[in-house]
Amino acid sequence: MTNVVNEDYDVVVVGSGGGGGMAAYRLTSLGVKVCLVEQGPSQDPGEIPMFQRDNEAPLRAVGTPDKNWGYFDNGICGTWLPDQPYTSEEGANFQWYRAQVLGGRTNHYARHSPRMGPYDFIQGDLDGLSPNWPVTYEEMKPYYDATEAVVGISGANTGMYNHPGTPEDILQPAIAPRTYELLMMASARKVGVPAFQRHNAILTRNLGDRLACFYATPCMRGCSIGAAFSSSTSLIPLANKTGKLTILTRAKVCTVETDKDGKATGVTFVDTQTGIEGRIKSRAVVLAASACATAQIMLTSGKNGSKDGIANSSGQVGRNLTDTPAVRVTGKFASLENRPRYDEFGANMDHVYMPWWGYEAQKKGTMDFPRGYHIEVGQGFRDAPDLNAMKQYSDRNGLAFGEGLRDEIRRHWGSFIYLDGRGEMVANDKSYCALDAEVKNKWGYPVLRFSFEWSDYEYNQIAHMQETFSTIIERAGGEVVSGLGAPKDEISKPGGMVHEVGTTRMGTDPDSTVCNAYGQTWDVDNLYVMDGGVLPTNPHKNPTLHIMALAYRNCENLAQRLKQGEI
Amino acid sequence: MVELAIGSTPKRQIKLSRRRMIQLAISMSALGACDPGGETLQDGIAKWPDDVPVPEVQHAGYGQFPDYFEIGETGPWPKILSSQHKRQLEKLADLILPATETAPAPSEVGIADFFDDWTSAPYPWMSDTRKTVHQGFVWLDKQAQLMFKQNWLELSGSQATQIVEMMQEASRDEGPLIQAAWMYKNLRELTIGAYYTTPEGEADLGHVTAQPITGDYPGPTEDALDHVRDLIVSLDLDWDDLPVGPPPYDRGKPYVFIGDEPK
Repeated sequence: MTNVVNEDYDVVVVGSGGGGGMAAYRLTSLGVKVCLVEQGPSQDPGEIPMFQRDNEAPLRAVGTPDKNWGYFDNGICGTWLPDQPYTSEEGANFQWYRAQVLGGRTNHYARHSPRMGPYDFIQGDLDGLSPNWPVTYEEMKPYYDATEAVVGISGANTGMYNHPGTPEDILQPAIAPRTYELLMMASARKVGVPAFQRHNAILTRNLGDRLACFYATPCMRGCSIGAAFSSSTSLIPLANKTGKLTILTRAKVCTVETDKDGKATGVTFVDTQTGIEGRIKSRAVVLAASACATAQIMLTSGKNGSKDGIANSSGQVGRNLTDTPAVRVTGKFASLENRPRYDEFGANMDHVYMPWWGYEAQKKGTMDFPRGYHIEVGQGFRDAPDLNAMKQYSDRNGLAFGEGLRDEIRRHWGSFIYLDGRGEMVANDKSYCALDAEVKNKWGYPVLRFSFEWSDYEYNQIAHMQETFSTIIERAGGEVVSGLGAPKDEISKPGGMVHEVGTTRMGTDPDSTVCNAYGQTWDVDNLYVMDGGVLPTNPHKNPTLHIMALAYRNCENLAQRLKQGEI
Repeated sequence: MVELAIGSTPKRQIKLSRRRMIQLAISMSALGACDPGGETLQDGIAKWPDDVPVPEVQHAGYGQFPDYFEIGETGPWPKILSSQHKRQLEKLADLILPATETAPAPSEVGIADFFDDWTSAPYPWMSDTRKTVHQGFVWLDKQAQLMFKQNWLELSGSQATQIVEMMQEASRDEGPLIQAAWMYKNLRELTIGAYYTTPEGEADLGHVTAQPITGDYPGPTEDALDHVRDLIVSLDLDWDDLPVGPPPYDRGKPYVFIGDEPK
């Protein structure tokens, strides 16, 4: 049985996260009639569980097979989704976190929003290990400005060449650093590592219908007042106001359909609650389902289920998969034991960071890894106690019990600081996703099979992080208590940072890339990709802002072509 | 030799060595405990009752998209712990984190209900605790009988403490008490985690729970800033270029990164 959505849409946008939400907003603003399709459920912003305490949830809200990242991980989320399994090559151990709810992963992300800099677009010229992007920073700058004006960014500019600032009339005031952040900033600066208040997609001033942060609830659950940006509170409502938007939820897009000339004619989907299949017709299709889900749709599409899929004459769909290599080094600070208590929650996310500083050294070839990283600073007593985290404070004295244990826990509470490294991986031949030849999802479509390997570029970078973080912690009087094992053991799990990009990368060469500089696929001229799949490289600067800035820009191209009748 | 602090005697701290403890257990069992049906291992230690059945839990779980607002008083799944289990758990939990003049005991903030929820949950990640509760308190009664001829719930505070000391000590090695050691580690960790996630536990930590603020986040309080400034200055780090407090950040000298940067 097939449900045909008979409305006559200009564009079907698949996925409602950063890329899809921005596409829906931008296209409808330009007068384009859009059907936005989301696999997860709809959610009214008022239904976001902002204020609930862990002890009001089952099992103190810890992770379960139903909710891998905890009870309040808002939406159908996790690496393990029973209806939608995936497989990994032996040893790959890829973690594919998915967030299926209106707004997608923008409900959950850390809101860290550094811009790419001029170097990030020309790595082909700098080290030759990746192609250049088909756009430059100068071309992207106006789109960063426009995107940030809609998203809302607070923070301070660094003044550093490859960490470009935001114009003063767009940038909202930065948030006061916490005491442990001040200590880490001072120590980092002393040892030659730059440290600044970071750019967050968190409002410190009202913006349109959205309100400034009130500094009391966890951003990772979503934010019903729209202070912490998410597509569902901040882009989709704007798109709705145009009257040009239709939203279809609980609909999993399976394939892109094409006519005899190879043009996209729309998509097929399955209603995830009833299993009934449907079809949506449109003049153009935008895939923004997340890098790997988009690759899955493209590989599943095509004539008679051809294993090469749609828009894949380059053979690059699913290839060049990268994630962010990461490591955490934790310091214990006797000087912070029993320190004065205050409301350290702030805007929940980090207020400061240390951007990469070694560009010149890498140009000179004095480092044994080619790409940069940034440092995040965490812990203190920022977050309310959670069940799993208490071990760190209670287990330092031989699993003691009884009188004295409370004092022990109180003394250690807030006396740890961790430094998180977030690096850049260089794409390699062994890291990709492809269709599994045997395993199918609940609805009979092939699932993804992941292959993944870090290389010495990443391991060497991790080693450099460990050394740097130790220096910063020790200069501040701390003692490193974890994170200094062999880089191969300490590096994050593949996919673990949920920054997977590159699987439908854009470029200037149709033989080695999937999309052109506008995210338009080389092979199917009315099929666009607007998620992280298009990023040719994966710099250490969290992907969401770039995905949105590209979508903002590329929708202008798509809208113009629709208007001119090219599509 | 490892020295252990027995915690629950407020007036004096008794130090017992591991050897002394084992000797104590042996002498107690030798003094009068009989051993019906080969229930003891060496050193007066009761055998772990592997044959005690652990109830199976059948429930679909709370699902992938639960109602975050209507969680309900009783939670998503039927509860399986008996009132005796709950009292046994409360006794153990209250030994781990005894009440103080200002902070309630775990039993006063619903620790038994927490364990009931946890051990009744239909997820594999909680099933080890279900097993350790159902078999572990049978073991505790047997051990208490061996040492004191009474069940766990009937033991005095110091008697119960002696058994928990044994379990704590066992958690350091892989001796015959390996299951009891795991029971101690697991129930201790969950007790602490569950306790400090209550409002009362947060208060005992001195955690300042965030409250909605109008206007800018003020940053650290004066005494917190004094503390970190003194620390930073004492470490010979630079205080004057740090962005302190709410915006605008126009105090002190501006920080400019001078390093490995193209000009």
